[in-house]
Amino acid sequence: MSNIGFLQSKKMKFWFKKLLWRHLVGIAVAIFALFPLVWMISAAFDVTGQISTQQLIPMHRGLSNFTDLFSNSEKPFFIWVRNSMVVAISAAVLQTLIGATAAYSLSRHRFKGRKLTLTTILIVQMFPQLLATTSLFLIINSFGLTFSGLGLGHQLPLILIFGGGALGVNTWMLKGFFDTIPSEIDEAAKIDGAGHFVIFTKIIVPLAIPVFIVIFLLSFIGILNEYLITSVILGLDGKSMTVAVGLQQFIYGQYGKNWGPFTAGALLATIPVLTLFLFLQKYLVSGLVSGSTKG
Amino acid sequence: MKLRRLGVGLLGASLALFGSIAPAHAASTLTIWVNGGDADAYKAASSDWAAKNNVTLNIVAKCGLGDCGMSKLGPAGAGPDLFFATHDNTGSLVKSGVVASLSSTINKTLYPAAVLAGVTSNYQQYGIPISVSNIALATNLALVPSGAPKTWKELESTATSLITSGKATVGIVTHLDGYFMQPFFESLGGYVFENKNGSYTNTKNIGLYSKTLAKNASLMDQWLSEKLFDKSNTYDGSAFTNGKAPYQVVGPWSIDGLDKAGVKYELSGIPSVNGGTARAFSGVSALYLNRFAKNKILAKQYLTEVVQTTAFSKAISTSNSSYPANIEAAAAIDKKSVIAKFGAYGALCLPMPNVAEMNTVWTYWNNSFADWASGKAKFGAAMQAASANLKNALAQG
Amino acid sequence: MRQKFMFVVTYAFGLVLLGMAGKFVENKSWFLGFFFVISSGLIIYVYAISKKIPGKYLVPGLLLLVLFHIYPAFYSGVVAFTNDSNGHQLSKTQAIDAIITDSKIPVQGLAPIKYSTAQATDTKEIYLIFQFPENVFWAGNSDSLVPLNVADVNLTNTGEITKATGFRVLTSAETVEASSDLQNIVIELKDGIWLTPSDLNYLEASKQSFRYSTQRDELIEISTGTTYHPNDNGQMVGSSGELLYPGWKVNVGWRNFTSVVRDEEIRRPLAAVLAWTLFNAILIVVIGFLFGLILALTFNSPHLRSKRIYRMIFIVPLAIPSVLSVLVWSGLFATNIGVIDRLLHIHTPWLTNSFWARIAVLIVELWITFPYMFLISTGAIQAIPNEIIEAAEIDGATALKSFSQIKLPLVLRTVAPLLVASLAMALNNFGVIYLLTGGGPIFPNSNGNAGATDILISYTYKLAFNSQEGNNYGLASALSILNFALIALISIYGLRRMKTMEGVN
Repeated sequence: MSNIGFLQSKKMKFWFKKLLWRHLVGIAVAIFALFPLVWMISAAFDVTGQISTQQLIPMHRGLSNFTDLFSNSEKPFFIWVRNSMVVAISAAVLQTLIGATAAYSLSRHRFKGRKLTLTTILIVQMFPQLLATTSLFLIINSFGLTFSGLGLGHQLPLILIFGGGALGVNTWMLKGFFDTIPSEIDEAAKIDGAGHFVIFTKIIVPLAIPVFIVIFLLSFIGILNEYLITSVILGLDGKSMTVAVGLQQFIYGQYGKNWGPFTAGALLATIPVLTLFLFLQKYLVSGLVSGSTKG
Repeated sequence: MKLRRLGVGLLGASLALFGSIAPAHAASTLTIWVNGGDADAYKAASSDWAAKNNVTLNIVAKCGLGDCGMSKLGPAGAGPDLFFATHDNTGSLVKSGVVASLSSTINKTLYPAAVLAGVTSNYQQYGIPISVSNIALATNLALVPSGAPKTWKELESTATSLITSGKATVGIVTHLDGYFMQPFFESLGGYVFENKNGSYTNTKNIGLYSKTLAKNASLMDQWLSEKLFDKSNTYDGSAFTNGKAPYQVVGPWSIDGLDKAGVKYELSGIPSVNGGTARAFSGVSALYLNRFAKNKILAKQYLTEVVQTTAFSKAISTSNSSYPANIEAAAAIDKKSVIAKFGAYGALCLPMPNVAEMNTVWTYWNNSFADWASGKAKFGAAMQAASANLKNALAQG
Repeated sequence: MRQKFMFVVTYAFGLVLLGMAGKFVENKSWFLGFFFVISSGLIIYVYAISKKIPGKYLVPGLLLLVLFHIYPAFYSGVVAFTNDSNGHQLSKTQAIDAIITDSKIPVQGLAPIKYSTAQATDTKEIYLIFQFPENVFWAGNSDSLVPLNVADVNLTNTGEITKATGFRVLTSAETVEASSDLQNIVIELKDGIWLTPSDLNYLEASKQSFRYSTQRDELIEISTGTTYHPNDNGQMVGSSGELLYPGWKVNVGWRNFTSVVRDEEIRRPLAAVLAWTLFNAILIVVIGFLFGLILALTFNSPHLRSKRIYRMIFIVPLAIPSVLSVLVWSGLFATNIGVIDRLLHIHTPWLTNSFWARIAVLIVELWITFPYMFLISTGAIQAIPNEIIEAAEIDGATALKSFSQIKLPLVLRTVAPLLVASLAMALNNFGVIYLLTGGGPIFPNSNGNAGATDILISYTYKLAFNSQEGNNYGLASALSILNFALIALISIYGLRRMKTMEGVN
C-alpha cells in the first residue's frame, strides 16, 4: 500500500513540478484567445442587443437576433455566405494553383530573369493595394462596358483580382518548400522519361499537399477578410455583398450600431471557418514552417 | 502543317464570331447609383416609366456615406447618370465640378424651403431631394407620465428631480458631439456658420464661440454637473430603456431598438432654453446629376416625370421608413406614426451646412465636445478653442 | 495526341483574348485592348510555339499580377505627381467648360420654349424645331440655325410642332432614343442668348457670363471684361487673386513629396504617424514572437497529453475572420459600458485617449498575431533534430543554456524570414487600425486626418477617400509610394541580413 502511495505522490510531485504551471499558462492564454468569441456568442443570444447591459450569460436570452438576421430581406445573410464562399473558395484555389505552378518553375528551372521575377513578386506585394481601388474600379468598369459578365457586381473579376495576388509571399513559401524536395527525385523521373508536367503533378504536388493546405487556408481567410476592394467591385446591393461587407452594414453608421444581428451573423460566419481550421490544424504547424526551412 | 492551318482557321472563325456580335444597342439606358438597400424600391417605382419610354434602367446600390467616389469616377467617365448623396456633400461636389445644375429641372414648389436650401449652392439647385432625416427627443413615459416636455424648464426640472430622488441616473441620454448637441448648443446662442434665409453663404462668420454662447456657456457646465448629460459620453441607451433616464436623443435608426426593448415613449422636438423649439440639423438625401452623364436630357426627364412625383416619394419613404422631402407625400403620412413625429420636428430644423468647409468643422467641434465632457476644459474654453482652431484652419484653406 | 489538344486549346484561348482585345479597342478601352493583344500573343507563343518550360508555369500569374497589381500601382505613381484632389479632378477642358456652363444666367422673363426633335430629310441630321418669338419658326442645332416658313410648319393647339417641310418630326419613342445626342445641342440665338434643351420637351434660354479665348488662354467675364488666367496649380485666377472653381488636374512635379518635408501641416502629423507605424510594427512582432515562442516551449513537453486541446484553442483567433473579430473587440472596448471596463470595474477611455487607444490596438494585434507566432515557433522547435538537444544534455548544459545557445538560434534561423514577412505585414496592417479606432483619437491641428493610432497606410487611406478637408489623391499617392519604399527597404534589408536571398542565386 505504502509503495503505491509513494508512487502516487511521486507522480503528483512530477505533475506539480513539470505540468501544473503549463496548465496555468495554458488556461490563462486560452481565456485570452477565447475572450472575444465567448462574448460574440453571448451577445448573439442576448435579445436586448445592447453592449452596455451584456453579461456572460445574457439576462434576456433568445434567438431574436438570428430571426432578425434571417428575416431581413434587404440584408440576405445566406446569400452573403454563399457569395463569400464562392469568391473565397474559387480565389483561394486560383491563388494556390498559380502560386504552386510559379513556385515549381522558380524552384526547378534556371532561366534568364528568374532572380528578377522572384524579387519583383516579393516587392510588388508590398505596394498597398488600398489606393489601387480606384484604378481597379476603372479597369473592371471598362471590362463591364464591353463584357457585362466581367463587369462590376460580378464575382468573376473579383476572383481574378485576388488571383493576381497569388504571386507573392505564397509563392516564396511554396518555392522554399519545393527547394527542400531533393532534386534527385525529379532527375530520376526524368531519366524514366517523365516530362516536366508529370514531374510536377505526380511527384511535387503529392509531396506538397500539407503546404498547399496551409496556403489555401491563409488565402481563404485573407479573402474572407477583404472588404474594401470587394465592396467597390461587388457594390452595396444586398444580394451582391459578402459576409465581411454585409455584416459591417449593421454597425456601419456613426450612431446606429445594431450589435445583436451583427454578432449573430459573425458567429454563424465564424463557425464553418473555425471548423475548417480545427479540422486541418495538424497541417498548419508543419506547413507554415516547412516553407521557410531549407534543406 | 496541318496544325498551322487549323490555327489560321480558328483565328478566322473567332474573328468572324466577334465581328458578328453587333455592338450593344446604346440607345436609352439610364444608370442610377442609389443608397445600399434602396435599389429594389427605385426599380419598382420606375418600372412603368421605363417600359413606357423603352428605357433600360440600370439601378445599382453603390452609395453609402460620402460622395460615392464620384469626384474620381465622374471625370473618368465611369460614373452613372444620376447618383445618391446626402446634401452635406453638395458644396464639395460643386467645388469639384462633378455635378451639373438641376435648377431648370427642379419644381421648387414641391419642397420645403429648408430642404431646397440643402441642395442649393451658389443660388443653383444641384440635387432632387428624396427624404429628410433628423434626430428627435424621446421621453420615457414610465418615468415621465406627463409626456414630452413643452418647455426647457419642464425638461430640466423633471430630469433633476428624478436624479436627486435617485430614480434616474442621467437626464438626457445623448452623444456629446456636434451633431447631437446642436439643438442645446443653438439654444445657448451658438451656431456654426451664419445662416440667412436657410442658406450658408458667409463661412467667415463662425459662431462656435459667439458672444451669446460665451455668456451662456457656464449653463452647459452646470447641466453636466447636474447629470443632465452623462459625462462618460457613452450614449448608454439601456439607461433609457431600463427606466433610469427620462429622456434620450434618438435618430430614426434607434426606433427598432426602443420598440424591441418594449419601452413606452413619446417623440418630440427639443425645447429651447429661450422658449419654443431648439433646432437640430436636418439632413436631406438627394439624387444628383453627373456632369459627365451619358444622357443628361433623359436623366432630367426621369427626374421630372418619376422622381418628383408624389407617388415616387411615397414609395421610397414606405420602403425605407424615411420622411419624404416632397411636401404632398409628407402630408399623406399618418400623423401618429414615428416617421411623422420625426418629420414634424424636422420641419422646424436647420439644414446641416452643405458647404465644403463643414468637413473641417466636425473635427474641431467634436474634439472640443470631447474635451468638455472628459473634464479637460470648461464648455466656454472648449468652444473658444474650437472656434480659434477652425478659423485658423479655414484661413490656411 | 495530347500535344495536339493543348495546341488547339491554346490557340482557341489566345484567339478569344484577341477577340476581346478587339472589342475593348472598339469601346475605346485602349489600355485593356493593348493588354489583351499582348496577353493573347504571349499565351500563344508560350504554350504553342516556344519550347521553353518556365514560361508555361509563370505566364498566367504574371499576367494577372501586371493587370491587377502593377498597373494600378503604376497609376498611383503617376497620380503622385499631380495635384489630384477635390476641386482639381477634371481636365482643363472639362473645368473651363464647367465654369462656363455653371455661370450661365437664365434669361429673365422668358418662358421655356417648347420644341420638337426632327431629322432633316436630306442630311439625316438632328434638328430642334421651335417657335421664338410667336409665329417665327426655327430649326437649329449646334452647327446651324435655319428659319422656317410659317406655311411649312404644322402647329397644334397645344403648341406642339408635328410637321415641318424638309424635316421628319420624331415620335416620342424616337426622341427618347435620340436623347443622348440632344444633350450636346447648343443653339446660338442672338445677342449671346443660348438655347439648350432642359428636357425632352423644352428649351431653356440663357446668357453666358464667361467666354474662353483659346488663343490667349483666358476666361473673360463678359459683363465686366475682367480676365482670368490659369495659374500653375490648375486654376483660373483673376488679377486680384480670386479663384474660379472647379480647377483642373496639373502636373506638380515633386511638390507632393517635398510638401511632406516643407509643409508644417503635413509634416507634424506625419512624423507622429511614422513613428507610431514603426514602433507599433516592431513592438507587435517582437512581443508576438516572444509570446508565441514561450507558449511553444511551454507546450512542447512530451508529458503534456492535453497539448492538442490547448493548441486547438490557441489557433482560434487565427480562424475567426479578423474583420469580424476586430469589430467585436471594438464593442468590448467601449468606455464604461463595454465588457472590459465593466468586468474590471474600471473607467478606461479606450479608443478616446491616445495612450489607451494604442494599448487597445496592441492588445488586439497581439490577440491576432500570437497564434501564428505560436505555430511557427512550435514548428521550428519540432524541426530541431533531437540529437542536438540530447548532445547538449549529455554535455551537461542547463535548460537555460540549452535554450539560449542551441534552441533559440536554430529557431530564429528558421523563422527569421517569416518574421520579416510579419513585419512587412504589420507595417501595412490597415484592417485592425481602421476597424478598431479608425486611427483616432484625432490629433488636434492635423486637418482632422491623422490620429494617435494611425499608421501610414490608414492615414494615407483617409487622405485619399475619407478626408475631412477634401480628398487629396495626389498627396495620398505620394505617401503610399513612401510607405512602399519604407516597407520594401526594411524587408530587403531584413532578408539580406537573414541571408535568405541566397536561394535566388
